[in-house]
Amino acid sequence: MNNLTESMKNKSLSYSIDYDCEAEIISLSGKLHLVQREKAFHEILSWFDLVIDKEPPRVLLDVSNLEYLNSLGISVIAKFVIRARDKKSIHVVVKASEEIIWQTKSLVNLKRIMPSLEFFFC
Amino acid sequence: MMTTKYELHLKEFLEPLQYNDGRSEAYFLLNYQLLKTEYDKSGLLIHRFSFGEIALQFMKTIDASYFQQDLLSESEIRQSIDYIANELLENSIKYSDTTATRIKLEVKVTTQTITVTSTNVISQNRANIFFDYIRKLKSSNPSELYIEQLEQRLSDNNKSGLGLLSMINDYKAEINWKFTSIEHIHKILSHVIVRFPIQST
Repeated sequence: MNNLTESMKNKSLSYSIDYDCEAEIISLSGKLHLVQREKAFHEILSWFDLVIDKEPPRVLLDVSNLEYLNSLGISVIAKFVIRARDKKSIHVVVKASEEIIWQTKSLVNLKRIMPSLEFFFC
Repeated sequence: MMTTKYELHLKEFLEPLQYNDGRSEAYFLLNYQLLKTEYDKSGLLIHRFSFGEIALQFMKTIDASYFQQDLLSESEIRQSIDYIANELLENSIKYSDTTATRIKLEVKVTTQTITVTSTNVISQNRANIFFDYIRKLKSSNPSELYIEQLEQRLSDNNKSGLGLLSMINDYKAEINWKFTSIEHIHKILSHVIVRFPIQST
């Protein structure tokens, strides 16, 4: 992790959130149960806001190591995708895992709200 | 009858486990006030134990010959039941009446489905919100409603029921509700029953 990467880790809940602002990669990993008012929730929202405001041509959202995410978390990712869609200039790529059920079942719905969304499953 | 002991690492929040039938069914009485305090402090108490794992253990106590060939993988069952149980538990914590003391979570396994049921006490006011939501759900196309909810503002999330919609749409689960009036305290006992099919189609 270099100094361009911001990171937040919570060992007790075993998740980490990283944002590499040079390569425009947001990585979420571990098990994340987002709760409104909670620190991780605001942290993710603020990084998503940062990325949207910067309007990079391409951003990679890597959730391929995010084993668990609750429905609020899925909703937060959906909001990010909607804002990127509305900007029209940001190409969003999602790196996901075929082994992780919430991704194969729920995350793929994001394509319905942003058809240009690019998925790659590993 | 076979009983299996589970190490749940959450004993301070659990009443002693009670088995209706050790092969297939158990329920957990969770202390609402402790859960609520923990939830408000640090988010939900999850991942200290796995309802999906419990369901898989139950399945293993049933003779394999009773199951159809085309079962979902263990990993898919575990992850799906974890998601469903955690969403139900979180809803119960968020919406229980403030005077409530217990949340009941049941996991029941048959050869075709795994049923997760949450039971908790809610106020009449909260019950009315649920009735409206259920009416809306029954009169809409759940797939369209799901996308509509995803498009909504985050601040509306508390009442969006996205968890339940994702169970129906993404997990092909069937949801039933039962409400019982507790007259002497003017509250409602709410049961949310989620039936998850374990055969791949």
